[in-house]
Amino acid sequence: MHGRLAPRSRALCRQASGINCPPASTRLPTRRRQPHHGKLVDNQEIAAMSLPPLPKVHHPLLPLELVDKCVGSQIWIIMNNHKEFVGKLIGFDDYVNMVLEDVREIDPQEGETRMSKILLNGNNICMMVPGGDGKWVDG
Amino acid sequence: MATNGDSPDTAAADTSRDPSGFLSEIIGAPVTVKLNSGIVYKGDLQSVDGYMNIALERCKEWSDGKLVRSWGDAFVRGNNVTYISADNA
Repeated sequence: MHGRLAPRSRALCRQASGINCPPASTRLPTRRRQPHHGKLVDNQEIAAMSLPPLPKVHHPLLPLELVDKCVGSQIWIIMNNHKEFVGKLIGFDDYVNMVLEDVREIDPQEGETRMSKILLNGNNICMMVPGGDGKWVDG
Repeated sequence: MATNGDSPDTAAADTSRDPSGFLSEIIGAPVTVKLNSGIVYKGDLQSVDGYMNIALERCKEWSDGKLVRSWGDAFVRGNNVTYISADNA
């Protein structure tokens, strides 16, 4: 008897984990004797018994979606050689090469340089902070 | 992934919004190319490819704010490039 119930418990596990599974009516024969209660129940009763509502699955924001959200706004880019760039993000590609406007290049040695529009090679980009202005934020 | 050096396919080329649009916009214009080493090349942008290999005309090499050399045409291998800046945008 237990062996015959296994498919349903698997389905419940799948349902709890948010993976879609077929409706109960397609998984179970119309009538079945439950092992513990010893009475006949039909599919609707089983469906009403204990199925938790499907959890709301909302996928997290993917990294490149975050970058895409920043298009048109100010960003702060930290390179892997301690250099930094602050400017308005105009666009980017799959390599995260970035087009920036009204840019400040901040170099610990050379100081600041201003440029109107640049294409920044994505190869040396380490981190990107949306809305950053090149200053550390307290807290 | 692109294998021929072309930029990866960006859907519905929104000109000047993405890198390839920006590049086609500044072909022929005076640009500043900064390398990872800090050396700066200024010249007229002749062409660029998806590797950011760059061909410059009237190319001048600047280091620490001082003119080092004047080249005629120059090819810069893309892996050394930090950025390409349009001088009069």
